[in-house]
Amino acid sequence: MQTVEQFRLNEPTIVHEAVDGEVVIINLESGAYYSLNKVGADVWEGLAAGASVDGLLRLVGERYEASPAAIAGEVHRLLDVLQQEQLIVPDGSGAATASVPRAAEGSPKALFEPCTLQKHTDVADLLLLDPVHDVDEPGWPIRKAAGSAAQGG
Amino acid sequence: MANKESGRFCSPGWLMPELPDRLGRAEVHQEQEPLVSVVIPVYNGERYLGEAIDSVLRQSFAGSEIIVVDDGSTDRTADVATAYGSAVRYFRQHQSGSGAARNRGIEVARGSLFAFLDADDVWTPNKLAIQKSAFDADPELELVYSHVKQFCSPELSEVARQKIRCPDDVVPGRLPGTMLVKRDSFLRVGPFGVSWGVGEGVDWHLRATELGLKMVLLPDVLLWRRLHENNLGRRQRDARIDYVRVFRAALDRRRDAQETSVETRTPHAPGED
Repeated sequence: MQTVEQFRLNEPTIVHEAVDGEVVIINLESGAYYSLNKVGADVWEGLAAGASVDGLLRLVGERYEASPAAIAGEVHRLLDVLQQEQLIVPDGSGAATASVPRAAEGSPKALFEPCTLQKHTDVADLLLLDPVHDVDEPGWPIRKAAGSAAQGG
Repeated sequence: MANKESGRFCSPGWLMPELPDRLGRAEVHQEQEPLVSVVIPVYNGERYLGEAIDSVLRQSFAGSEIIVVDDGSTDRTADVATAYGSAVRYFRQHQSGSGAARNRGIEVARGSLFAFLDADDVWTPNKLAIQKSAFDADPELELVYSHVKQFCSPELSEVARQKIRCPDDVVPGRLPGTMLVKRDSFLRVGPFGVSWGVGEGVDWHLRATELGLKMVLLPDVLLWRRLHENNLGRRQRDARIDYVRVFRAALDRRRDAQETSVETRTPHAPGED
């Protein structure tokens, strides 16, 4: 059941970069890395730009040839998985941007295909050993310790 | 005469860290034991380099040469390294990153086995001996890793300690610092990548795995990894994105390989092993 209206990327716990329509994401807390393409990469781009869930649906609808119901089903499934993997978190700040990335005017819509989040854990132990994890200055991931609570509010 | 004879140098290394004839001894041993080339890349490592070198000199396994590659240090790193005389082969290059420094060490290495040690870490005295015996037990083995224990550098203030995450558990260390690898196997994988600010060890490991190198991760803790205020990864924190690029390169290489996929249709419990 998806009732969240807006998500944000779970930074700085994650690091990500998109190249040539593929997004590679690392969860620095788990050491897992992921790749996303096609619709997934578009959704990620929208999330990175601060789009609301509705904005994501519009974005995908502009780029792919499919019924709104099919798009909604796929986008919500994808958001569920991204949230399960803690790559995105619900954002209650209400700061959805209006300027969602848009397809170029008149560009043909792509064939709509379900997308898969590929997950790799083969070097998780290695990644967790890197000294970049040793820092908990502001802006750096802090390994969850027992009793730690979210700051601020 | 007999007294004179007994006065000849034969002390184990840990009694006399600064062995002037270390290389000579290594060559004498070469017929029975392979020579291990120990490459220590260093950038402004005056503070800890001596401890790293000493930990190699203290090895119970005698046949090693120490190659220090100074990646353009501006501190007293050169003084520390050259104070060891012929026990350390010292090379200097313009700053080009730790990957390039490791590769420079390999270029000049004479050994049939390669090992790497970061200038701020230390080996346990049995590191090479234990790994060498793993090779003896399985001649087909190509690479031996070990476990790692991390420690907070003693000079760290309480404030700094609280900033640094110092897990005190023993963890698997598939890192250059634990690696002992056969020369031919290393060269088959190729040199360390030089385009990454961090992550060249991860990149090399991924390539070695893809090539199917026969490797083993020993349960022993053979590397103590120092956590301090100037860890490479901390200096280059913005270079975290390099990990993403390391993984992208790996994905490109094995595009068709089997992958664990998280199907969007199937709820997946995060964190499951």
